[in-house]
Amino acid sequence: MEIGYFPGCALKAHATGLEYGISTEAALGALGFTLKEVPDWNCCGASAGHMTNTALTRALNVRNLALAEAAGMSELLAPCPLCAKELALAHHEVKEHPDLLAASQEVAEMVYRCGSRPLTLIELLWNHRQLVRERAAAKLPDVKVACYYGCLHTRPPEVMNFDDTEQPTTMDELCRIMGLVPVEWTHKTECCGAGFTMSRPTVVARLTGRILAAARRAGAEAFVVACPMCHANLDMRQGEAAADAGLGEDFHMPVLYLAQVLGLALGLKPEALSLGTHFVDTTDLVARLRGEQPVAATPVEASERK
Amino acid sequence: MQLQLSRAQVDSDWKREVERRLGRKLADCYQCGKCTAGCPVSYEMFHPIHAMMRLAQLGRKDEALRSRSQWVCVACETCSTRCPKDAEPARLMTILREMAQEEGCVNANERDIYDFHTSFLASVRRFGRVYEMGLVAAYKLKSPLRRGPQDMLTALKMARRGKPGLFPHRIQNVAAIRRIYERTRLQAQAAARAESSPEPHGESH
Repeated sequence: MEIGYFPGCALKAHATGLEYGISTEAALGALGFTLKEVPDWNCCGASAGHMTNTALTRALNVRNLALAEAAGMSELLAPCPLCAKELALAHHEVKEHPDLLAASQEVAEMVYRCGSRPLTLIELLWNHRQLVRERAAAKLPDVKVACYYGCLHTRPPEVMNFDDTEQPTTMDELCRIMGLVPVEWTHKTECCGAGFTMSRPTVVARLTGRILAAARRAGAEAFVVACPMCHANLDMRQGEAAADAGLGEDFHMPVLYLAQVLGLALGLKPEALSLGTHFVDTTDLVARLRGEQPVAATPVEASERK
Repeated sequence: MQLQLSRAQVDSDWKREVERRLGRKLADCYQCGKCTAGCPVSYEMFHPIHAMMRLAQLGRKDEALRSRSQWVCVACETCSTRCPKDAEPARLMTILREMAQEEGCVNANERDIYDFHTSFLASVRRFGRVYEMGLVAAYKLKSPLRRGPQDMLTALKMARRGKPGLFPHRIQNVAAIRRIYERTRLQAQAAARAESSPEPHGESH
């Protein structure tokens, strides 16, 4: 199956979310998808664009959508929900408002016929859950995981038009199919602080700390996420966040991408999914997920373990 | 929130402009406070989101545009999603951010947040995609003494994992991106008013 692919900046160029790009490409490849990258795509503008200039952001995304449409991509996978939401928002706005379409087309010097629909990874897998069931059912042990969706998989609801806004269940159900045990918890769609990770780290520590505490209360052993910003904040800032929430110094909860979980369920090797480059060590968890005895940590992780 | 009400402080033209951009009447909001109740960062705000709606309803342009609240907003959209009247508080925050830049009155206390946004967009303008290493360098260089040392340990840990890459990814048609930026530059309105503002630094990227 061929599908349009918008990787976005975070998943490419060894950027912060490189594991998400590597694992998405590997897992979807193993599932039988051929990812066709949008030619010469540009940044969606992310939080900065959304926060400061809506006309700019809309035009940047109309350019991307028009390029995808011209390449024949009626469905466009954007695994990063920031990209997916900005693309979907532009698509939604120009479809509803002919004046915005005309203005954006002129600014972007492109023609867009509203014929390319952006999808998140969760939505793509949900649409093909029968395939996931056939290939990956019950391949993983009963590890308790907190499925964390963050803000943008379901918001704004009229744009994303996917799952329940407050208590989504699609990623939980996908994990359940693969054999994991998703916990019922309270903070599935609470914000992690997103793009404030550099400009206001105290806000990120506070918000992420609340999410860590909620996952622990629910008895989760690990997070499953589908957003590079959520991952960066939960994984790279876990120490600060746990301290802010008073969770103790030894708080340690691995954060896996949904694509990494899927890859493991499909029998891919951890190296092919870049499981060794997270901040919070995943060695023991990955060994359990693969049904192995715990193995020694890699040198980088061992030297940073406290 | 306590406000001294006087007709002199109501800017009706501004209020109409906000409503035009919002696409609905500000009076739709009946101040139930549900937006603030669900806002993850209301604890950081002197004027939480329902109070910002109130300022707009009352035409209090200066207080609204100079507030820090719109910059602390994380744009998670929880407020608009839960609003029982579809009053679109999240969109109001976006409008206030744009207007504050147009009028040259971005709150100087939120310089970190604003600088990060502009550094990010400058990187996209230059390469067509974000170049993380360059973005971080540009952001830190705008205030090197304070921002320089921040997150050095994290940077070291990232480097050991091959993140972020050393070199930018430049797209082929960067010229098209530059033209998009030129055509969507925010218009600085009422230059005279911006000059009299105490902290004029709302230059657009």
